[in-house]
Parts: sequence; C-alpha cells; structure tokens
Amino acid sequence: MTSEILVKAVDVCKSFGTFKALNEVGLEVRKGEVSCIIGPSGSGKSTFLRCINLLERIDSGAIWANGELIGYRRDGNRLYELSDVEIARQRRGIGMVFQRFNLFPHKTSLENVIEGPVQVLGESSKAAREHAMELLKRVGLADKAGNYPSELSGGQQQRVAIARAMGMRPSLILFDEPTSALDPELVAEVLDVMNDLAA
Amino acid sequence: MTDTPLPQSSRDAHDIAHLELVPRRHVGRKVFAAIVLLLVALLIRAFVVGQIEWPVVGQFLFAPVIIQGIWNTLLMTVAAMSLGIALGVLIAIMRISGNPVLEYIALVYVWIFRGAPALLQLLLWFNLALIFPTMGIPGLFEFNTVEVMTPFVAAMLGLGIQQGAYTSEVVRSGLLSVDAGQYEAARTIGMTGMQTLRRIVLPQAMRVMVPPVGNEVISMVKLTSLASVIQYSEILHNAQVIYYANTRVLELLMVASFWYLAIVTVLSLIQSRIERYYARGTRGRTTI
Repeated sequence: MTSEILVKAVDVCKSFGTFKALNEVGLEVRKGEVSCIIGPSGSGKSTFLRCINLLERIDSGAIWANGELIGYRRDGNRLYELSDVEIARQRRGIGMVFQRFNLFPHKTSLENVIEGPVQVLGESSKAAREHAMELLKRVGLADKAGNYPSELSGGQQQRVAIARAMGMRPSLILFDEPTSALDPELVAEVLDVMNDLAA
Repeated sequence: MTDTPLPQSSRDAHDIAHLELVPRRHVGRKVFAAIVLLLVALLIRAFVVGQIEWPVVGQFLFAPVIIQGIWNTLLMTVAAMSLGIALGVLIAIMRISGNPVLEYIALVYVWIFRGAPALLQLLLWFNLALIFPTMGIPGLFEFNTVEVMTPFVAAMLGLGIQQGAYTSEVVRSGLLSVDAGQYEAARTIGMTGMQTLRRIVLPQAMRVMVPPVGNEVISMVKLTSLASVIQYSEILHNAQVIYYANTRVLELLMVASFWYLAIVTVLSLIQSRIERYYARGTRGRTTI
C-alpha cells in the first residue's frame, strides 16, 4: 500500500535571465518518504526546493504540496496567482531549513520556535511554549532555550532552526544543504536530529 | 632596519627583552593642543571685553518668556519629529513594497519635499489660506484655513513632512541592512509581508537606524528656529521679541544660543546611551 502524495512537481521550468535553472523538472514524494536531491553546485537543487514553498516563482509547470496546487488557483483554462495572504497560508504546512540557519537574531531559541505558532497559527503562548520546549528537548537543546543565536554554535543554531520548522507542525520539511555551512565535527549532531525526524 | 640588531649571545637578547617599554611620544599633539587653547582663550577674551553686557544675558537667561520658548521648542521638536518618523517609516515601506503605484508615490514624495528649503515649505503651509480660503469635504464639513493653520500647525506640517522625506531614507537603509535570509525565514513560517516587517525586520533595522535618527532629532531642535519666521513663539522668536523692545540684540542671541546648546547637549547624551544599548555584542571603539 502506498501512502498519499505530499509533493508532486510536473514540468517545472525556471530561468534567471537567460540562464535556465530548471528545465521541465518532475518529482513525486509520498508521505513518510525521505528524498534527496543531489547534483553539482549550480544545477538548480536549491532553486527547485525554493520553488516548492514559493520563495521563487516558477515560469511554467505546476507544483502540488499537501494536496494543494502551490501559488495558483485554477479558473477554466487559466491559473491565477494567489494573494500574499493565501500564499502565506500555503507556506504554513511546508517547513524549511536553510544552509545559513537564518534564525531571528533578536529572539532567543524559544522565541524563535514559538514565533510562528503564536503569530501565524494563533496558538496560545502557553501551548506554544510547551510544544517548543518539547521540540528543543528533541533536538537536544532544552538547556539553550533562553540563549540568543549568537551564543550558540553553528550546529546548535541549525538544530534550533529545525525545531523552528517543526513548531509549525508541517507535513513536509525542505532542507536546503543544512550541513554545508557547518564545521565537520558539527555535521553529525544535525544529521542525528534529521535521522530522528525521518524515523 | 632598526639600530638594534639580533645580538650574538642569547644573554644580551635576554637583557634587551627586559628593558622598559616606552610608548611613542606625541609631541606634535601637545603643541597643537597648546595652540588651540591659546586661540580659545583669545576668543573668550574678545567676547568678554567686547560690547556685550553679560549681566543682561544673565538677567534674561531664565526670563519666563524665554522658558516658555524652550517648552515650545521642545514641543515642536517632538511634534514635527513624530510626524517625520511616522511618515518616514510609511514611505520607506512603500518604497520596498513591490507595488509600483506605492513606489512611485513614495519617490515623488521624497522628490518634492526634499526639493524645497524647509523655510520655504513653512511659508507655503502658513499661507495656504491664500490659495484655499476654506478646506473640507463639500457637504460634510468645512472650515476656514486661516483658523486651522495656526503657526503651530503650519510649523509642524512644514517641518514634519519635509523631515519624513529624509527619515524615509534612513529607515530604508535600515530595512536594507537586514539580511535577505531573515525575510525568507519569516515567509517560510507563514508570515505575511506586514507581519514580517513588524515582527522580524523592523526590530533588527532599529540598530542601524538609531544613530542617524538621533542625529535628525538634534538637527530638528535647531530647525524649529525657522518657525520664528511664522510667529511660532519658540526660543529664537521670543528672544527676538525681547530685543525688538530693549535693543539688546547680541545679549538675547547669546541667551538663545545657550539654551539650544544646552538642549542639544542633553539629547546627545541620551543618543549615545541609546546607541550603546543597540551596539551590545558588537565590537568596541575603532580608531584609524
């Protein structure tokens, strides 16, 4: 028995000026699967991931995530672009972890994790805190909840970033080279957390 | 080459390693400081023996009219700067909104209000009644422009609106200083554009914006003196009112100078406090 399809991309094309980054790319990922996109640098891996949650706009093709067509609404034979608010709603279900962490430097680890749940999902501060502490414990950083990103190592920052993505209870998380900015001895701790999530 | 080559014996080297270290002497600086002090002394002497009646300065320093002027100057600084900052933030957000209509409105705003001298803009607002005797929405409400456009309102609009054009550039540079990854991270947790600005970007942009905005506040204190031209009774205007009566022109100008300097000094101290607060965690003092 196969599980439901989480991501499906069909004939996705994306150019930057005259450079064709994605040329009719297709992909299918089912719930519970771990898929890796590998290739030389400049081959469009990041661009493709960023198209899935609309950090980049595609030129043609279609991407579905969580059962919804991403970024567009069909009316007859045309696809109409969605509004800022609707796109923001679609992104809630898609977590993303960046190469350079992109934690919010003016917020502590805990505040980074609860920001989305409280501001976007409208969870109560108390419920969000409890969930966030669970997640920080899961990534092994319960004792760093009150620390600012600048006080954490790269590996610790990336684990907070994973907890932040998990805080939104997404059905899908995109990892864009999550260990390539880390010192070799810090890679293992991040991979351990990712393995734990995948299990 | 220095005149102390590596000695043959390690004993000699050891001796040299334990000689007293003397920092470089800055003789030039001391001479320069002495010259500056001498010039300052001559300048002070010139003012003391000059034809200024210092007792008159002391007599008017705390005169009620002058004190009232100080309050009005502070009030106008706060009012015009509040308007300026509010407009500046709004215009800066319009500039980066990605909406071409808003972007052009913002560009034209900056172009117009940065393009005319502040004094001229004050005069335009104050004399608005000459073009529009009455203002309002026909049928709903209407008022006489002369009654509404008091010196206070005209000065606040004139100074605040032109300040907004400058402050918008400060705010914009603050927004641009925040890493693009922060905008993206905020989007991936489902924030809308306005949420991203309010919760993530503006708080970080503050660190970059505080020093130049502080500078603009100090600049505004002195810019309010322009309002004396349209009869707003701030420090300079009130000093002028007194010297028109008693002809002690320079004495009263000294009184006004004293108070402007006093206000700016206090504000500078506050500014350096705030800067230090936002500079937490960054590197310390830099010299060339």
